[in-house]
Amino acid sequence: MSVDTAAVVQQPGGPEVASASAVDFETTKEVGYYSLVWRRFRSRKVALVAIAVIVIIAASCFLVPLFLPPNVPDASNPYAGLSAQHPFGTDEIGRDLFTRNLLGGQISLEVGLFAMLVTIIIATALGALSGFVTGIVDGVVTLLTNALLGIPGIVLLILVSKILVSSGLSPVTGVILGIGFISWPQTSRIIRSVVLSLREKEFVEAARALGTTRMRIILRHIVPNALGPIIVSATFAVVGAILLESALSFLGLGIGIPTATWGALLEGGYTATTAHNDFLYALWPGLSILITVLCFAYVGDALRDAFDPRSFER
Amino acid sequence: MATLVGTRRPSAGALPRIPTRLLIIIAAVVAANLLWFFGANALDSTGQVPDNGRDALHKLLLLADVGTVMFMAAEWMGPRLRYFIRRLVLGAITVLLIVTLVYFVLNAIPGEKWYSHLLNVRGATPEHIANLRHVLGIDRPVYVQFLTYLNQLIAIPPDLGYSTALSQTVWDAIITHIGPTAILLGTAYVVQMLIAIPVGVISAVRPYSKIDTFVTSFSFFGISLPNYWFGSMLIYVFAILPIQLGHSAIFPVGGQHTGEQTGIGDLAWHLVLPVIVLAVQGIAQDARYTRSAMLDVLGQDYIRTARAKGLSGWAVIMRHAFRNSLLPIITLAGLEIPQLFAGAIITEFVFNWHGMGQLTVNQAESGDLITVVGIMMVLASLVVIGNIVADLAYTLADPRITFGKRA
Repeated sequence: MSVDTAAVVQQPGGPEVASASAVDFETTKEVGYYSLVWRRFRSRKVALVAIAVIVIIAASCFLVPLFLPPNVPDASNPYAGLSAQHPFGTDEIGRDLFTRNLLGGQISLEVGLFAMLVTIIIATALGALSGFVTGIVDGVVTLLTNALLGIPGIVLLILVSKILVSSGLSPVTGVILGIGFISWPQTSRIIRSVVLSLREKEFVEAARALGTTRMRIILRHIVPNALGPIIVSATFAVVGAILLESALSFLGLGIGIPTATWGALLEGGYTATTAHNDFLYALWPGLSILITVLCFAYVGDALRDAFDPRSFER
Repeated sequence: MATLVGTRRPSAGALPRIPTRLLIIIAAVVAANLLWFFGANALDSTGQVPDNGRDALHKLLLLADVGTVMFMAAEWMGPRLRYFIRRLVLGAITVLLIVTLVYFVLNAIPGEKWYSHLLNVRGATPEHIANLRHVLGIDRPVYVQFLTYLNQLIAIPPDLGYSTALSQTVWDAIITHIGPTAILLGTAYVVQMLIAIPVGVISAVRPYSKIDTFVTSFSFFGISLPNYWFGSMLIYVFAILPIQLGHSAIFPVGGQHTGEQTGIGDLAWHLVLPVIVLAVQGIAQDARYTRSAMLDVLGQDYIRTARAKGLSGWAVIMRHAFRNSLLPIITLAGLEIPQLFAGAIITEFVFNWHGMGQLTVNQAESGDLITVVGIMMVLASLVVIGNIVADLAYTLADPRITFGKRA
């Protein structure tokens, strides 16, 4: 090693190269980890468009209904076609479907966001714990994870949300907690594997040598360093939550009437499609779900590329 | 290096070094045996637990003993056998855990709705109801009911119980419904793999080309597509719209057969739309997965070596790259079973396909506890078997894998 270094120094032009890099070092602005991530994320135009679309959808769902007239049923006008007054037509009791769609979007987005939070909190806690503590704790958590992954999520969701709702929670809260309860295992697996590799890193060893408690190491050293995968999982958790909620509502077992969600509107649309031979009622809520979820998936994918340490080398 | 100590294989006959966590398990099992030996009579004298519940506890204890002995005996066996015995024991624990979880989750739903169709008969007297509750066994605490159920379950052959809602045994209900689901899922799975793997390989061989960009966009589309919505749109386009325009339906609205027909052609005709719905989602996921697995392998040094020694492009891709990327694909295939079934639940609902998925939703909705638990138990066993088969397939795909490393 020392021989090599000496050889390099003796090379003509060596010092120049060194000074050039020194100058380079001085003129380059120091760039933090997250601004690097942001730079890489910014270079993906599709993801920026996706974020813009999500913001537009969310803003129209939450703001536009404030300026619309109250959505009163009009029994004389059920299943009306498209018109200037009802851009998406009316449903079986004559309510304007455009307004219903926006109101449904509010609930669907809320469910997506809060269910994601519940999922991420449970998954991070259990994933970090089992990855860091290992041993018997890891064994128990892994067994539980495998058991939950062995059941199709939607069946468990039907049962769990039923229990939560019958125990006095509002249907929206019940479905949010239910989705959080059934979708943590996938995320927890990812976080556990990240933590397993982080716990062998030098900075953790240094913290341990300083006498830092385990709890503090997990909270101040492990979790902040695993934030990349956690954020990426969070985006995909939103995707899963919105799809799960709408599937549940579609089966008629989710957030029931009179609350509108995209899934519930889709169920009405399905009835309209098969019973009244008109697919337009199912088209709009379906497209709303598809576009929203697609945008979240694109953002998640761009985030994954941005956080990926391998893309440092490119 | 601390990890090296654990990987040392014990020489034949020598007592192997037992890991601490195994010691804890052994201590727990020994304690449970002692507890049973001295406490069984005490349990009987309380009169809280009936005979079959006592038998269930005894069987559980025996299972734990056998499992531990197998776990220990595996220490002296060859690495592959040791690995599979461990997987088998852990798999059995997982299945038991799933059954327990689903049973108690179902029982936590309040109300007597499970048997309401039997209890709320017109003219039923309180004595009649009390008698019926006793006969059905629902007047006892939940844990006693669970033990009774376990006692039936841990037997040869396993008894999954009798569903009063379906008026048949759960086993019969599963047998009659598993066929259609197997046909639907099997066809969808074959179609999905036949399309997804070549597509994934091609897009990995030409990354960032037009084909690759198209595949990536398509897979995002497939992942985000709500399958129930996609199904109803297909029904509209292929079944309802043609009839509205005065033709006959290109594909049927749903169901498995037209009228009394039983031919394979008729079945295939009914299969097309649900298989499309199931496969599109699967293709999206698997093609993406195959692509990333292939890309990982294609970046390895031995691929460069193979190219450098003058092998043709396809020989490198098929013999060197594809074979090595099979491992993660096989893992995925094993893990996909619950997900496939979840897809079947929705698809069967939309297309009125009389399979396990429809049965599960109907019985979960109406609260037929014992059928849902039975289905979950069968499904969990399939998942465990699927994962073990996936591991076996590993050794076929890559002879170097020997499972020598200790867990």
